Amino acid sequence: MTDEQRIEEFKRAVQAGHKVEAGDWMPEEYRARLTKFIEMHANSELMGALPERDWILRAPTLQRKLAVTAKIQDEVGHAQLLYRLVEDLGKPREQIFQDLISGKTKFHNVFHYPTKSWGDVGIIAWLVDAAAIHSQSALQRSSYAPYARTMRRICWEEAFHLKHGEDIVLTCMMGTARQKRLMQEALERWWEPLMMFHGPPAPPETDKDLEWGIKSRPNEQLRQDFLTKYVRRIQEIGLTIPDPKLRYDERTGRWAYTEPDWSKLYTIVTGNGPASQARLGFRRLSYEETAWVRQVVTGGAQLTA
Amino acid sequence: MTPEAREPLARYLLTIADDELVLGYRDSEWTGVAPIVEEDVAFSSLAQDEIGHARLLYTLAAELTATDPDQLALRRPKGDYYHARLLEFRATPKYDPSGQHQAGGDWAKAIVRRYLYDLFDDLRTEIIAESSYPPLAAAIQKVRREERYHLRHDEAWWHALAGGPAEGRERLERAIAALWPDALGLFEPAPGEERLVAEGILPLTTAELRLRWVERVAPAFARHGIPLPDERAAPAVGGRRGEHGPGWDELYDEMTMVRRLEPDGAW
Repeated sequence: MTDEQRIEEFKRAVQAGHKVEAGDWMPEEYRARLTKFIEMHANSELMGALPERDWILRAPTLQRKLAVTAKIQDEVGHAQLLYRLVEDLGKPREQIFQDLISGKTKFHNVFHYPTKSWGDVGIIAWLVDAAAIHSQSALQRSSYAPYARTMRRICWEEAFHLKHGEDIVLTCMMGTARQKRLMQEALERWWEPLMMFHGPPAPPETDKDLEWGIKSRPNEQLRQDFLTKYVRRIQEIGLTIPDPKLRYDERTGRWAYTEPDWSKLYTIVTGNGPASQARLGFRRLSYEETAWVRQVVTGGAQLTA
Repeated sequence: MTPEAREPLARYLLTIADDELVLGYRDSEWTGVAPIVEEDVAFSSLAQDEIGHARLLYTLAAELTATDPDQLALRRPKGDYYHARLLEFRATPKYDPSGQHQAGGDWAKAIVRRYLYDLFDDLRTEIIAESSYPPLAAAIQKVRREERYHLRHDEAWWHALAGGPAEGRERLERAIAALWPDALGLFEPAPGEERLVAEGILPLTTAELRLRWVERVAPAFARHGIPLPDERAAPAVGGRRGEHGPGWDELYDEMTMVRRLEPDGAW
């Protein structure tokens, strides 16, 4: 069998539902795409800790303080699980971080924006995590079995984040005019990033990650799922979605909305978003300040008492 | 308990709760920026434990003073917090939206602070467990169970830094020298502790724990040949009277920022 036949056979197998394990043979293109995809996911979990981290010190009650800390801890824990998958695929952790702080690898668009108020904490935990759950649930059917298994655990935890975020939003929406305004303004800041979250509506047949079964649901379908599940809920609790064109079209069975400027998404994820450089700068600073600690650990120190 | 003991007991509970709260806040800042992701997760757990302990103790204090735990944790005036000064400085870098971040993250200081404090807290909770005030003795049992894991975590890092490459060892020694007076400040007693001892609510005052603490600290230093700083050095006191440094100004401002928007609102 030639290499090409072997690759074709692999592709047919994953498209028919075959699951790939870490030790199995896989085509180089599959390994490369998988590494890039999971690495970006892992980077997003890690960089995603930063916008919310600012609010760990500022949570307005002890219960919120505990919940916010635990929530962000989960996100970093997800990064840890996903980085292990990337390491198994052959990329060392040191290299992963170097590529992240030098801007060579990417992280998700929503983590390139600043957080301005407690409203952002609620909207992020509720709606950004809700958008994430839609893509992550679909990833439980990934052709790469270790990724699919990791997603099952992550989705389970994300479901709690949603409840936590929705509760923050709901509590403020039942509060004073000022508290309501915090939430409405945050929704207005986050709506465009949310609509960009699942990426441009690329035709499924040109999406290589779909072709290899790394992901299982097209971008536009994920966005439609998100809107179907959350538009009514957002409106019910008294928030106004800042898109006059948003409506459900009974005829097509799809949501119509103002088309985001997709070139802006590209600008943002390539490190030119409103908070991209500040976040990367902070990641770089903390990484450099702790370099000596990693040397202690990799120098063979045993972390046992 | 006599009526005269109520006020000193409430003050003592606040003092311990404030220690746990402030350390919990400072440790929670490592979430997202620790040296290895495993430690982001570990420090975040430590922080959540401490905040949980603080909440437990504020609840007891709130019962004596007819208020509620959130009120005590987040709404007292800045000068009415009684934590030791050791616990209030920031050990992580600080994010600035402009990109001009404040450097100064110091893992060695974070570890030394935790270790010296946890050794102290172990002795303190040990005596509190003998308290004749049943709600306190019961609450502290839960605290002690978790603190055991904290000490294990601290010791692992203490040994790694003390016994590892020269740079880690040097940073550890610098951190010890810088923090030593603050660590001695842990033994500054809360006002009215003598009354609590007289009534059997506490078996010993906080100041009386100092010698026991030195006996615990000395072998950890000796094991790695780290010279023990002068234990008669002047301690950094004032914390137990509400006198604090710039680290507290910064932290207080942040931790009350959202709450102040609508102090009486539900959040």
